[in-house]
Amino acid sequence: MESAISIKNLTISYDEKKILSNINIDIPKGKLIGIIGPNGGGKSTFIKGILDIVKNSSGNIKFQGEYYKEYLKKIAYIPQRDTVDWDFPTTVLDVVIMGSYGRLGLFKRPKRKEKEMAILMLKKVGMEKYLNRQISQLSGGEKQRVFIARALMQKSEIYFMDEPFQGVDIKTEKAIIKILKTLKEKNKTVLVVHHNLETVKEYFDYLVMINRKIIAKGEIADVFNKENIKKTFYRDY
Amino acid sequence: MGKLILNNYILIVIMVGTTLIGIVSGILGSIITLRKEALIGNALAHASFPGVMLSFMIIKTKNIELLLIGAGCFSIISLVIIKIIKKYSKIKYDSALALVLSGFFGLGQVLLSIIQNTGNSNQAGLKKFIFGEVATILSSDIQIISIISITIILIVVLFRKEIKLFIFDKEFYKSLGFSCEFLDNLIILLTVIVIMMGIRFVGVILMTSILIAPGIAARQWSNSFYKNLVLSGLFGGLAGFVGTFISFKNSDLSIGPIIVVVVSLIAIISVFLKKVK
Repeated sequence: MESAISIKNLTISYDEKKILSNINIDIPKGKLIGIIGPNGGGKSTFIKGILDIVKNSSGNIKFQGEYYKEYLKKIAYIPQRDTVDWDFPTTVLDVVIMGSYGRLGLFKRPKRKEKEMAILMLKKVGMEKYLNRQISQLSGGEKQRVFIARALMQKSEIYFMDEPFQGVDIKTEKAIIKILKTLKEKNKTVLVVHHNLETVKEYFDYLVMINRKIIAKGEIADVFNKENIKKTFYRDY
Repeated sequence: MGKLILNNYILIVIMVGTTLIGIVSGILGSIITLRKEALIGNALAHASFPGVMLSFMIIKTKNIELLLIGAGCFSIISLVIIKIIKKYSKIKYDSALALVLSGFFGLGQVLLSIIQNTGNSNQAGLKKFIFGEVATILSSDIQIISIISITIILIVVLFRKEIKLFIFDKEFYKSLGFSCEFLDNLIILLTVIVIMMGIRFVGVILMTSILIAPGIAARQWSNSFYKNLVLSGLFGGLAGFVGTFISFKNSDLSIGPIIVVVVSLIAIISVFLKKVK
């Protein structure tokens, strides 16, 4: 099995407290991967550590043989929705265009090409009608769709999503999962921090179970069982 | 006749200065209000006061450049202290800001009293840094202010795309490999420079208004980040221009407070006429 990300001995500390220790995992390429675990178990930190957003990490992370700095233009990231200032003066179209900033690099302006592409991405998530809408006026589900469109704009190989279904309507959730499955069919790798155990089997084909360390990893059929769930969610520290 | 021309020349010199300072403080102020760090601007301005006094105590003359460098250094020292408090203590951020702001300003007053008691005749006018005073502004000062203002505007224009993303979505900005520390420091540095230029005109207490009010006004008129910057700069510049004009028509009104009243009126009117949701 080809691996998209290969992680060796990753440890992440925050204020001298170890959040994650000794993570060793090969994330398979072309899969829809769920990351589950209890609150405070380090799911988000796991992603942020891989993406170099959280520092203080030791270990070795390679993306198809390349380091993060060399590979970062092939990575898309969707942060948790509430980490963003939704009162910021900007429009739906503008947020999606931000997906092109990484590729444009410093100082270069997005032009018509980027704008047209952003409109195309908004169509994919069913938000083209809201093009010029101020972002503060969007519902939770609509905000998430805009974020998905921005990630699609990045035209990446690997997609990281932090709780994309948090507080969104069921229609949006289904629409998003459909888009993620399309990405998978194109052999893209998608990692999703997820918390609803009921939908794990339906959504993902590979699972990483985290609580301060990796409790289990593998195909859904092999690891998503009562024993591992118990170990992940009810283990005392 | 000669007096009128002389007066008009002074008027023009001062007006160019206040308008430029209004523009750059409007632009920077818009950025810091959108970052929800308006109080940082306030703290930096107040904290610059003891810097002016301490510089004077060391150099013993009113060399304005050196006094302002002292001001800038103290702004940065206050920021470092605020950050240390934020990182290592349980004191809430707003409390830390208020503490540092008033503590530094108090220190400035104490230093001023000490200076006044030494009988150094050069000290007359130091008090003017509290509320600002333009009588000592020279055309050479305006040249320096023009160059610095244009440089600040160019820097903001150059980094506008990065600043926008940095304020809106820091995590995403980081994931693209851009540096947060760099922009954070750049914005603070530019703000400190604007404060250094502005305190001579409006003083350390009122400086906050010309930083914050134009940004608040602009936000009521536009939902676009770039338009916010432009409008905020225009409002700040307009307040500087109009305030200076009013002050010259009524010689008993000093410029700083008038500019602040004008810019506050612009902000209040904008809030009432609010165009955007």
